[in-house]
Amino acid sequence: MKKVRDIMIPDITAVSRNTTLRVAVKIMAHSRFTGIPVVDDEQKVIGFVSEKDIIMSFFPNQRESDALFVRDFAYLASQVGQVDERQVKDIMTREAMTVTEDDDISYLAELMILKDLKIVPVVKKDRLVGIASRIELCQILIAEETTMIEK
Amino acid sequence: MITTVTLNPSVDKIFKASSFALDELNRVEIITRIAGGKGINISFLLKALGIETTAMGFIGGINGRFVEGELQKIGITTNLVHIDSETRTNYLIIDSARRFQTQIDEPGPTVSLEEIETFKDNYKRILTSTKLVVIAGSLPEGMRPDFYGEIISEAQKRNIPVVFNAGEANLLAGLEAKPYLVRPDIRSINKLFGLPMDTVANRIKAAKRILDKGVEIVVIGFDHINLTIATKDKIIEAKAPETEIVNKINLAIEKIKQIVTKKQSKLDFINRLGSTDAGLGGIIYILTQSGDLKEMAKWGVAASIAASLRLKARVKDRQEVEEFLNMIEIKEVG
Repeated sequence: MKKVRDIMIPDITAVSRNTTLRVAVKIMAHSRFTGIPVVDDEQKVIGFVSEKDIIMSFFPNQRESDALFVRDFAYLASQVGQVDERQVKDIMTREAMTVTEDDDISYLAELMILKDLKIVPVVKKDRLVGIASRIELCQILIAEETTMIEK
Repeated sequence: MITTVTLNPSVDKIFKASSFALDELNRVEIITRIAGGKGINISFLLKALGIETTAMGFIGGINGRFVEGELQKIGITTNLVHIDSETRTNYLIIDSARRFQTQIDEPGPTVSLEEIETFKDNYKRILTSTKLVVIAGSLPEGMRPDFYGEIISEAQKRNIPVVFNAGEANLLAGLEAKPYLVRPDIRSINKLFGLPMDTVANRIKAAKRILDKGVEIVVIGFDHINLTIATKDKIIEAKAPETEIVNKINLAIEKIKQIVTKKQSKLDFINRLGSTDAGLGGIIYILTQSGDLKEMAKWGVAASIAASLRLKARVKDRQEVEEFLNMIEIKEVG
């Protein structure tokens, strides 16, 4: 059984609680990932911030509704103006799901399906060492299947 | 963990021309492209020797993604700040008829103040799990030389030793912060000290001047692959015996010719790009092991030779370096 270390990307790009949302969005825009781990001063994972968290923060009254549309443009405009001041800590998910390099990819797959996660930070003694992404998992599963069929 | 810092990395493209002429249209053949930059080259060498590193620096655009991808592909951890501007391209043009190698280096992208602050935040966090920092290479646009002094001090105040390799104004700025080990760019020493490095006496003089600035170890390269290593107590020189190396190089040229002939291309040169960085990587490897000066010198020269014999100046494993160790002559000169 393949391990997380076989598919993880050794990228430890992260933000801190005090990083502004503007900088966080810029980092996300440049990276291939839809979210970034939030770490403390020792690079230990303490949370996660995603594109979804950022978008939802602009529509606080819409969380319960299936229909998401802008009711109040004035409110939206005021929120956009505050993006510079808002920090990751204002919107991050505080309990981030993580895996270790030694975890089986089956555990990673279960986590990704049950929690609907596209990205899972990989840690070693809580310290960020990489990222496991859904597409990388797909690629390795297909490769494994192909190998089995060929055998 | 060792952290390497490459503030101005590059994509290095190697071309071959049957005869490269100035002031004319030259049709060249692209041979290869590699992720370049001094700190990055050192990360690659250390990886080949089984040492893990985290690569930090600035990258941007398609070139930046290529650099990042090349590092991640072989398992080097990356914590690179993506910038809005494009990472630079350097060009190495081989004139196969006259065996000239012409290098053209772009200056580097512009880095904004915000991007610099992001780097500094990342750097401070990474330092909490770093035992040695390697800061090497040039600066991109928008960064002043005193930035080197800043990040060297940030590490040293945490008792993390710094290996520093730079030239001219950058070198002087970094020296202010008294890094643990310094390798000045060879082109700079002539300019800074007015001393050509072709004699032992001059190399000793230059080394002592840098040691006087509060540096513990000084490394001066000469004749492309040979090294002078100096501390306050001892100065040694490591040299590769010419005949052996020439024989090895000729063998390597034959091997490379066979490989590239299959790709319908002819090549007969040794890659100078990155081999001196590999040499510094060899020194750093021993610095983190026994710290013995003579071993550092041997591994420094051996790694340079091994990298020189590869098209991409990338050593594959420690065996490639080890085969040259016994050939290196060590002499105490001070």
